[in-house]
Formats: sequence, C-alpha cells, structure tokens
Amino acid sequence: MSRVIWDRSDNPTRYVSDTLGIAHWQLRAALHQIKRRANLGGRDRIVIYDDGRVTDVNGDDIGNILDEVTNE
Amino acid sequence: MNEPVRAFATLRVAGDDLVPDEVTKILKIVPTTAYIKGQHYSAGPRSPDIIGRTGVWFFSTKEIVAGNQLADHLTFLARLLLPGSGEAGPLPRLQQLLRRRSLRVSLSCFWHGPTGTRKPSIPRSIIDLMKLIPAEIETDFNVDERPSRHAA
Repeated sequence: MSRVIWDRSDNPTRYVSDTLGIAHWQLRAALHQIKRRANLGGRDRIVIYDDGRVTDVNGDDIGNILDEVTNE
Repeated sequence: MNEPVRAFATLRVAGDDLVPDEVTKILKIVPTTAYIKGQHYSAGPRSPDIIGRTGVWFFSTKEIVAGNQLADHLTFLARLLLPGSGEAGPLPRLQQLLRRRSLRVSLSCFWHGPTGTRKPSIPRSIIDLMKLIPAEIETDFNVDERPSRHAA
C-alpha cells in the first residue's frame, strides 16, 4: 500500500523528489502540469504518495508524477 | 553541479459548460488534454481513470516549444491568439465563447533555475494580452537551493 509523502499546499521539499528518485525540478514541473490539467492552482493542496500518485483534497486521483517525468 | 534552467507555459480554458472542440477550432491547435465535466480521462499509464470535476481545455508548451527561454514559450501562446496575419485573429471569437459559456482562462508560467539565477519577468505585451482576454496569470518560479544529488 502506498504511503503519503506530502500533504500540503506549497512546493514539496527535496525529500519528496529524493523519495521518488527524481530531480527537484522534475518534481516541480510534473506537479505544475498535473495541477493545471486538473484545473488547480499552485496554492491548492494536494497529496503525494511514494508511488508518485497525486490526489486532490477530496482524495480523487489527478495524476502520477512518474507519468510526467521525461528523460532529459 | 546545478541543473540548467527549465521553463514552459500552459494555457487553460475551464468551465462547467466547456465544449473542448469549440476552443480547439478557435485556437486551431490540438490541446495537450481536454475533457468535459464528469468525463473520465487518462493522464498517463499510471493514472488511466481520472474524472473531470469541470470542463478543461489544457495546452502545455513543455513538449512543443524547444528551449528553456520562458519568453519563447509565452510568445508561442500569444501567437495562438494574435497570429499577426493581418486578418482578425481568434481573440474576439474566444472572448465571445468565454462569455457565452461562462469560461475562465488561465496562463501559468513554470521556471526553475540554478542557484543564483535571476528569475524571469513576464513581458508587458503578455500581461496586456491576458488582461484583454481576460485571463489570470500564475507564476511558478523557483531556484535551486542546493545542488541536486541527481545532477550529472
């Protein structure tokens, strides 16, 4: 079962990107895309799980960070 | 070692009465993602079934515009609205659609730079264009606080 690694409205710390095994800019870029695609703003609270899953405050899935990360 | 600058921008049209094809026909570009309120859509192989809480037409320059100059990404989006061909651009038709369907437009700007880099500013022409639509502008700018362990 996946574990919550972030549950706040501001930008996640490096702990989150390190847990997911990605660079911090990749995490920020992925969340930017996921939140806007779900019609959420930067200040809207989200929950991040250690498998990359992202949900909104209602617990509804809005995307997965690992889907957004590209090889650059 | 710091990561290089990363930048892109997104344009979003949203509202409960959104019909995505109407926006696509006006802007003449295929959105990155679009869905109507209540529609199930996929955001990738790990998130195949997401339900749209409202209608969204979403376009991101991330995989479209080469380079990481934020101004280039914003210019690309501005040209969708003001092609500069001499004929009336899509802006009046978009404004009409926004009123008719009670839609909202948002421009978001992403920028991430290495430690010590000066954050970009939004060009006045873009600010004026967004006021004209009208559209909200959201910036998401940040610099590295310390080198990433993932840097090459």
